[in-house]
Amino acid sequence: MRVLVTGATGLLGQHVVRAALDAGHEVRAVVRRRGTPLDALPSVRQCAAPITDVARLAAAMENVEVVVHCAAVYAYGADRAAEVEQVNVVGTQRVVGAAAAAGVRRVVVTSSSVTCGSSVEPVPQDETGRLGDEVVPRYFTSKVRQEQAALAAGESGGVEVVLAAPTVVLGGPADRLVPSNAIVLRYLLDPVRGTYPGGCNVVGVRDAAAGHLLLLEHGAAGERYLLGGENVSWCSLHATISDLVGVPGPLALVPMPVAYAASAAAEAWARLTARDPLSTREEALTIGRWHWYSSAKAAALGYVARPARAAVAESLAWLLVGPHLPRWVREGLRVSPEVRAARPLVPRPLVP
Amino acid sequence: MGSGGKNGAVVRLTERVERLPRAVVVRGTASTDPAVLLDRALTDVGVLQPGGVGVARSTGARALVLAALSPPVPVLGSLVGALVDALVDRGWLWVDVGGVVTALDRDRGFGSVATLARSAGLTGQTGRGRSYQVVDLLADVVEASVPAQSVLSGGAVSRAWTEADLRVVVARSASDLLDGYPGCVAQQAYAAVADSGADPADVGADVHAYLGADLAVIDGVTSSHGPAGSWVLRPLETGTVVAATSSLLADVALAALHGTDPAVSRPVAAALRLPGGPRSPLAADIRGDLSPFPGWQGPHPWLRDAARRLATSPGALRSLAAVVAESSAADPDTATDPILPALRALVAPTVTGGGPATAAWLSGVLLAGSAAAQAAGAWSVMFVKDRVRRVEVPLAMDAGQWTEADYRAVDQHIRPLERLLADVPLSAGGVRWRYHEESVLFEIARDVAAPFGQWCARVDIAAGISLMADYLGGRRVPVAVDDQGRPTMQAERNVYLPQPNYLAAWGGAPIDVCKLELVEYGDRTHRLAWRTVSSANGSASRDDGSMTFEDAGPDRTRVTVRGWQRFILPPLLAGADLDRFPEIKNGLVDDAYRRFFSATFDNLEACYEGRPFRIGRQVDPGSGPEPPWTATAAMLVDAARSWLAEGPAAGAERGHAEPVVDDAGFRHFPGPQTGGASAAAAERRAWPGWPR
Repeated sequence: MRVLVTGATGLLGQHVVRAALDAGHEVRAVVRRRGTPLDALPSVRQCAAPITDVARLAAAMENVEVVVHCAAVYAYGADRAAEVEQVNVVGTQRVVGAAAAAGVRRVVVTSSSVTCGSSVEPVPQDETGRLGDEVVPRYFTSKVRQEQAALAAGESGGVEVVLAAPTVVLGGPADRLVPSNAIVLRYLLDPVRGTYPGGCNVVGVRDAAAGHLLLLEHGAAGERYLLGGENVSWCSLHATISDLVGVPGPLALVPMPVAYAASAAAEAWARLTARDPLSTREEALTIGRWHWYSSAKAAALGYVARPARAAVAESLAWLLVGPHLPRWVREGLRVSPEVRAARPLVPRPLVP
Repeated sequence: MGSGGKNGAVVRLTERVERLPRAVVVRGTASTDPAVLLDRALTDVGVLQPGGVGVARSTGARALVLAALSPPVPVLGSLVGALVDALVDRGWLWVDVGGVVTALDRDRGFGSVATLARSAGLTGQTGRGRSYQVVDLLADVVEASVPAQSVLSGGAVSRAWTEADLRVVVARSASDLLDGYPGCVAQQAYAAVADSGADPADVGADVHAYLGADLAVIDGVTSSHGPAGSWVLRPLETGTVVAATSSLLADVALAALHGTDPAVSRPVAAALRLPGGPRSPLAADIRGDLSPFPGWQGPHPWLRDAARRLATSPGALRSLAAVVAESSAADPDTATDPILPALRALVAPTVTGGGPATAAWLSGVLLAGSAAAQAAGAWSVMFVKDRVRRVEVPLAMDAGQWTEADYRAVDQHIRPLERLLADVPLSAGGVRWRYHEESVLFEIARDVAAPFGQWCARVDIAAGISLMADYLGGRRVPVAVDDQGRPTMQAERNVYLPQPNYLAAWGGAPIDVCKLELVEYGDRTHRLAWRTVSSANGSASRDDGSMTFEDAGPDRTRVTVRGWQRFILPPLLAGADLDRFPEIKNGLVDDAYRRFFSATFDNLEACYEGRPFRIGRQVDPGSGPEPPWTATAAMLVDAARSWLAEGPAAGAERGHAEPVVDDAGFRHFPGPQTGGASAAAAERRAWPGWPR
């Protein structure tokens, strides 16, 4: 098939591109600008197009059969709320609209498991779940509106839309730090090695990408599919990180108000240093709830995911070679062979 | 033994250093014409006599005079004019006078050699009406043609200086806060564009060794003394001119006249340490009255030590000079920098006043500053290694002095030690280690997921030491190569952060060691073995070992590092004598080796993948000098003032302004207000050139 991937330089998009290539598809990638990690894949045709420009998107989609729309802004905090809304909702509407204009048969839209809600008890949610009346980050609501916009645009344009709802996606490359990998990084940087009440579901990025390919071919139009891995408590997730890098912990249970105050400080510091905050008050508000999900619906199509430990190991492997983990922290870790094996070494080209 | 490396590698010092030079000290009275003093000195030293190197051998021959032009103590314009006349009289029809503009000169408002020369009274015409040209020595540079062991190797030097048929250096008799006196060896350093991280003392010594002056002159007609005579003019009529056939000898004479040890000058000390350097007492080669200048006052050793501890970077040196030196009318910072005047008010009276009490006060101020600098440095070493300056160093030994048998003996030294580790169990940190002869003998290994052939093609075993963790810089000189051009024997100097890093907080010095190395390339094994032969700063009494890459099966390579090390602890920790507390020491040792080699293996993998891994910052010489510390404080004050002027609400509104998101998803934020004093200050501080 001729597949077009938006957000192809992002954490998930890169892996969708590679998975599509591995499956023998012809791949086009929508990128914001030239000079991307995809340059290493000469068979991928790169098209520079703004995610909200229908005409240029439609031109890029000419003769394309299916689209995987991974482009999104995955960020928390009031500072980025407008951007989140613009890209996640308006952008998705226009991508599906462009697909309709270009005669694309199907669009798989990357949504998020958070649209299926969460619980105060450790009970997995499925695709029938919805956000409740709990306070949620703007990113969560933007993903709900994204789903609605995608389905509506698909219906009006005659395009099949399938919603992929990955959980917390861990892995690399981690040149740009996304909030999911930041969960791992935050714990490594935390001097008190704090953990939280509640839990989440983590999935390795390669598994999530493979799930997208699966939905491209076998997903039912108009349906959404949770693409998760293992349900874990925050405490067990943090214990896994500790075990994989040989540091003690977790050592303290941090209640939501304390996490909220720490996040406020982190945001203030980020504002001073003109950087993205490592944690936000919005994220802190989700502490205490169980973001557990069941991927049974996707599993019925053949979806499989590795255990949380493997996903965490992959995230760690990339963080260890990325720019976000300070040297002095990295040097203090006793990294297990599992982590080292999670990222294959890639020999540099030899200079003649 | 074969030879390899840059410029033929195996190195011998030039004849310029090995020959025995002569120096003459001519002393007169305050009223003696400087030209007369110079003429007597030149005549007595013999350089300009028939047959001497100072006589032009062709009409097209060029002479270059490198003159100290920096205010407030430039050389006398009339003395330079007289020197030019003397050279022209000896057949040098082309005589140029060269200088450079240092960062400190720029800080005082002198932006070009021409303005410096005018300020020094160099008019371009001698007293006898002959014209000469004033040139910027660094306006045109060439790659230094020097042995690979030199700190200048791979760097740029002045074309005019390098290609001159006669090189003359003229320095001024003055005291110096950091080096006791700024002599001819230090002055010669300005002929080189030092790579970032090179110690100006090493640069001066190597210029002296490989591109040294044929004639050195010191203008001691009116000296400047006191704690910082080179920065603050305190004139003392000394009526003296020194001429010598070597900068080093001229400086030895000057030190005697100042009543100080020549080696208090770091460039002179470095020149004296040069391998193959002078071994006989140089003062015996000097003619004339070497009795100290009456009434001479130099910097107290305490003061000198405190200043050196403070001025550990170009930015710190600029700050120190800006605070200590007299403010100049042309000084662009005087009017706008709110920090400098306050600091100057604190220390200036002590610099001009002299006396032990004021020296003690100034020492205290500088030591307080150096303590802060040391704390900041230790913080960087432990937590922000990318802020630490990388270093460029000379080899600090003559690679050619060692025989092939010496290099072969490295392996015979290391192999038996490796066998001592065979039965040692792995520690909690994954290291096999034991104490052996008051040193730590260790072995640590990692299997990397890379085929042996691919690994060795990308990770050069000969460069193994420079790939290790915490490597700040060094120099590697191959002395023998195999038929594929790969080094098989090499000499290397390495500089690392203090080990373990936390020793920096206790005053621990960087590890600085010189090694002989043997490299072997087999079908299934590549091996580098080394033995330390000296440590320039006494930081290690033993640092021997080996690194091995072995074929460990399909797609696997085993990397093993073995070593035998004894690093010297800083006095505070040495006093604690941790050997009495093995429960503590063993844990610290195990942790230190695990951390260091974990990072080392990560470095090797990064090298294989082509990822950056080196610590430290390489300052691009083209990016301008490191800003003075006070500049940062001044910018903060600027920012605070503008924030107060606009009101906190205005600042908040600007900081919290909503970004505009464009169609491509980019966020656009309103930028800060620019222009005015802040922009001018930023531009002012972005001067090009090498800070000295």
